[in-house]
Amino acid sequence: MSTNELLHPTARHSMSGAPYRTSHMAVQRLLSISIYILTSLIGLTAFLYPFFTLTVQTTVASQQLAHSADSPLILALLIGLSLAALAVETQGQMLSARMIALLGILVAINSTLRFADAVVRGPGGFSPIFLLIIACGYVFGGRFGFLMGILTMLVSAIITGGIGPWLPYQMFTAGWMGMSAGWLGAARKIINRSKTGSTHVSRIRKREIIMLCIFGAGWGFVYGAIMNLWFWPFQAGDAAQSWQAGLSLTRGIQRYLAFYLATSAVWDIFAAVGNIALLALFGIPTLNALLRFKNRFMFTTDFAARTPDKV
Amino acid sequence: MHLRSWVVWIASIVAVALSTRNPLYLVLIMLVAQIVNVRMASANGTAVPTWWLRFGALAVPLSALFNAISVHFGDTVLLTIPGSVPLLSGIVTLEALVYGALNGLLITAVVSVFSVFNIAVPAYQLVRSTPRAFQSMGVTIGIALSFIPQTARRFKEVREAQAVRGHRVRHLRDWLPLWLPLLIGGLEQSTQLAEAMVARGFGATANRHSSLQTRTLLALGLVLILSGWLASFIVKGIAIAAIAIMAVGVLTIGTGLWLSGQAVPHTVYRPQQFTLLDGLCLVSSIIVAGLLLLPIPFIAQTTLQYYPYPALTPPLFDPTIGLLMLAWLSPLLAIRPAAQEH
Repeated sequence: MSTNELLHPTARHSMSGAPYRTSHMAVQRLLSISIYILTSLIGLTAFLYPFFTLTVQTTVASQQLAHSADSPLILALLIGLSLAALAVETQGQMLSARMIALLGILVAINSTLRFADAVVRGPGGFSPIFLLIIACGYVFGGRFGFLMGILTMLVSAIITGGIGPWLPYQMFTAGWMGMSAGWLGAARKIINRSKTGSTHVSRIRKREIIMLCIFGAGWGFVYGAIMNLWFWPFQAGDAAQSWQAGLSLTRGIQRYLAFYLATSAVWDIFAAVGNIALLALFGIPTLNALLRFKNRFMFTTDFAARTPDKV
Repeated sequence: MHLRSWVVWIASIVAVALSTRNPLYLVLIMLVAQIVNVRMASANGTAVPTWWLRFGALAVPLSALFNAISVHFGDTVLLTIPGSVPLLSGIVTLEALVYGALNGLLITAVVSVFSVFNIAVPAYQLVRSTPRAFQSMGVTIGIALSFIPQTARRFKEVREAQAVRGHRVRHLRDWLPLWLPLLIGGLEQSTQLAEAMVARGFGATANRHSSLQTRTLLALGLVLILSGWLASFIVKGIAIAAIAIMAVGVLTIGTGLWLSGQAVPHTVYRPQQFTLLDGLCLVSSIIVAGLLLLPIPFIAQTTLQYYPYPALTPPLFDPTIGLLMLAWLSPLLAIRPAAQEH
């Protein structure tokens, strides 16, 4: 019996049928991608449901009923369930002790920052937690960024007493932030490829920071705009910026934009400027530290990749 | 009280709270929540949480003000904002003021109920109750919760060490010498922790990735939920069919999560007791929510819906509903001091 078989009892079976394993892995990968896409679509539907239901109800009475039927609690449960499905999928792909320990410690640091922010509030929507979510997603990839986002929100909610129907929305939005930061990793590779030699590292890092600042500023507004949607229908009235049944989709979006500009835009400007300031001031040393540790944390030994005759 | 009973208790109250805007019922819900808070605090020997009252003191007037100046609708005109300022100019009505205050009151009532949960369920109990399917996430959350006090302590040490070197925080950039040692120290600590975990056999099993069966069930469940949900928006008159499809989707995902959990061995050293009183609280919460939300003939559920427009009228109060809401005080019977929880 080979060392590989001793360490991994399933290896003999998996290596005996390479074509089967390839097709099996292709199906697994397809299912994995499907889970990511479907969960994101459900999350989008949950956030955008006020725009979908605009044309369904027509009277004030039915509006009340619609509120009770599509209450945030039910939506929160659906979002929570989708989030659970995605979490099972994501955690299944990063089970090593190194990654779990790293994630746990980084979440602890970020939750401590949020706790400090809850005690001494920053101006407007400024929050220090987005720096690490963006940086971790950018350096360690979308999956890690997603878990960093959802776990930061969950753990900090536990320690600050912030558990409520808004929590699944916060987790989803922060998870998306981390996941989309991971997509910038591809852009990082392109930036790094355009220059050769170690002398350009500093310039490359500056370009990365500019890119991340733009990304962080955008998410400062997007986070606020998405989070407003969970309670917007409950701020109902008859003004030009309130949710109301029987309107067209375009009118609904116009009303939401009016509501957003009137209530949240200034708040979110602080969030966007805060993200830019933190990424500009702390971004380079933070990325350098994370990148330095990345190689230590992410090495893997792929036994199954060896061919049978070499084992 | 058992975690399961708390979850059902909260779900019951929040479901009813979100279906009403009657201020009398909302105030009654807050009263119930605070009475349970006081009992919890005396059982645990902690301070009675009042932060949600401060939240309400801010949320109610702000919401009322915002609604009053932005919603120009209602019969009782208080004043008129002159000019042609978009969104603001127009009449300010008493009805709009009240409706805004009700919005704030509703959110405050929900927050008050969750304030009970936050002191009633300790963090360790939440982590311990993590379903088996989320074993890795449970471990991660456990690590994070354990290391938060250490992180705070390390931050203090770093700050003191930098202060000895003459460092003072005056601007945002002055935080960098505090932030970087904290981050790098945390990363170093995580390598040591990972080595300790591996040394104790963590992750020793050959393959715990999501199985094909689990993934298929999860994907199928998500497809059913999404298609049922979208169908309810797009196709009129199929609400029941859409709900049925979504329910099947929820069950499919539940089955997938259960199967995923079965692959993870799990033992509990000190299981939490589920007593008769816990069961009583759980059942009574379900019954109250059912009686208040389902169409029952002898309960005036129309009084739950209160709408101040176009002319303000006093809210109605049904004593039967009030009495039913008092049944949410059932945790008073089941709450035990923290030391007797096991």
